[in-house]
Amino acid sequence: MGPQVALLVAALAGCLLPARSCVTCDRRVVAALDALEKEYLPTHLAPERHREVMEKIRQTVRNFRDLPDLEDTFMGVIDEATMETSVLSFLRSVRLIRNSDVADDTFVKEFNWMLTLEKAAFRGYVTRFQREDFCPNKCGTMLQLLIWCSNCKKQLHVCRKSRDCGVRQINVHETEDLILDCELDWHKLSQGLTYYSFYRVWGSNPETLVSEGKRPTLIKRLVRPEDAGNYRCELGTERSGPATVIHFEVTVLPKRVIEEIPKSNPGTQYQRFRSLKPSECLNPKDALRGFLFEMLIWGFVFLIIAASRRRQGLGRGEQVPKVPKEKATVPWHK
Amino acid sequence: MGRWWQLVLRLWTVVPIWAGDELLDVCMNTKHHKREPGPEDQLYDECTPWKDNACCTASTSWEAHLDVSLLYNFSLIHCGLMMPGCEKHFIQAICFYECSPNLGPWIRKMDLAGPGERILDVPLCQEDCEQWWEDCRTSYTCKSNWHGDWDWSRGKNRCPARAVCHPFPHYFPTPADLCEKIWSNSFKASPEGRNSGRCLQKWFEPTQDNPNVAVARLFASTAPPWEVSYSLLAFSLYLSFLS
Repeated sequence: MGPQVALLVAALAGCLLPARSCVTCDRRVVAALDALEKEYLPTHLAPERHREVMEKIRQTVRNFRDLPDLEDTFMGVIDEATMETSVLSFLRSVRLIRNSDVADDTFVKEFNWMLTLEKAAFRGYVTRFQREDFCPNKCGTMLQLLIWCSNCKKQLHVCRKSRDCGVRQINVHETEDLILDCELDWHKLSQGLTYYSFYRVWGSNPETLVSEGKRPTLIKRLVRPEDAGNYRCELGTERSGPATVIHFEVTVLPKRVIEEIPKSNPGTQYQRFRSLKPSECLNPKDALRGFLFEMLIWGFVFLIIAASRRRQGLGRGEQVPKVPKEKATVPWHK
Repeated sequence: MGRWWQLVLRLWTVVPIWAGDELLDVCMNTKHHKREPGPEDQLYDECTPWKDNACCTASTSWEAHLDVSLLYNFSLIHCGLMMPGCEKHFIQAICFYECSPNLGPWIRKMDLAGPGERILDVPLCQEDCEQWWEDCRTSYTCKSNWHGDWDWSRGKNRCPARAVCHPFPHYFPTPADLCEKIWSNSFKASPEGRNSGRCLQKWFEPTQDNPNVAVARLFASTAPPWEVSYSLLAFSLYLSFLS
């Protein structure tokens, strides 16, 4: 009988204790309302009305969390940023009324009107929070610190969206750097995260751990063809399953070659990149040999021309003329 | 005539054990359960204790953890977000329901409306019900029986018109009320404790062996199926009449 009675009392107490409103979870709001009652009302309102007016004010503030006409039902939680915005807005409005020095019925009317506006503003903050900031992760699992308005407790809510965050195709050229990025924009906002692990995934053999640590990227320098394949990154949490799992399919493409093209305009430089076909690759030894051969042929040509001119000159009985300087009109071309 | 009696007595002892084995290591016949229990190495989070032998698949174990479970489109957020400590118990209970291969003695055929089978009066250990109730005291709900009477007009369940959100103790004054009423007597609040071997745990540490295997065996062997025991009774009465 004893424990049952105690349980019944606890159950009834659960019903009778008024549920806390979101903003009244903040000490500053409680202090502001207390100051209003103890400092402002004695000089601005008849004593017999104090209790009734304060009770109504407190009741209205508690009802901030009654938002039945919200598009998405109010979940009864907000984050610290939304709490701060709502509290500061409320405190500013209270301060404005106190500074205006209104009294009696004017005070009651203006204060009630202010509370109506503040509740509408709070409704806007909550709508924006639920639409944009509640569980902002689009995949994986995020741990978000939230404040429950019913009992003002601050706890971690587990935002589960999907078990993994998809597959990414990565192409990298041989001898360049492979960069696998495991970071998502909500990682910085989440609580309870541990570290990033990167694994190399083989077909039927177990995975091998490649790296583990706080850095969200894996960089593999001077990539070779054998680095192609499947990789997996995982961001762990303290108590639940992994926060994020991303798979990477890495393809290693042939080496890139940088071609220099002569400047067409001063001040511009143009480099053409293309991958070379094997047939185009010239052996340096062959290139030198070809050059020497060409030089030899042109040397012979000059000798023949010079010799034939000399013979013509001697036939006319004149002095051996100087070999006329060849103008640089010989076209050099490959 | 004495030999006949001996035969009947032997039948009485053999049949329950033989029938009992049929109730061990079985899965319910519903939309999400596997046909037979088996090892699952990819079970998620709270469902991992059953990895050695489970009636749930990896994807079912993931879906059991969602605020709005894809399994039955049921929303735990019908009166605001649940406190994490309370939500954990619901996830464990769903994992227990979906994954446990030790519910055989309590599986019953449902009538034509609804999935093929259900569980009835599964005895949960006292600590399980009490901790569940304690951790949910600060969360809210609007009904005491979660199996029917929701407003499904917007896809997921919402509180019906006259059902007001109150803290859990309003609708479940005692831990026994929570265990028994919430899923229309699928569970029963056993007075036994966790080490008694006479009640089932809705969750256990993944490093532990499944403590419910022995409990299911105990309940399976002491409860012969009704049809067989009635026919044995009729037969033995007939024999006594003959002698």
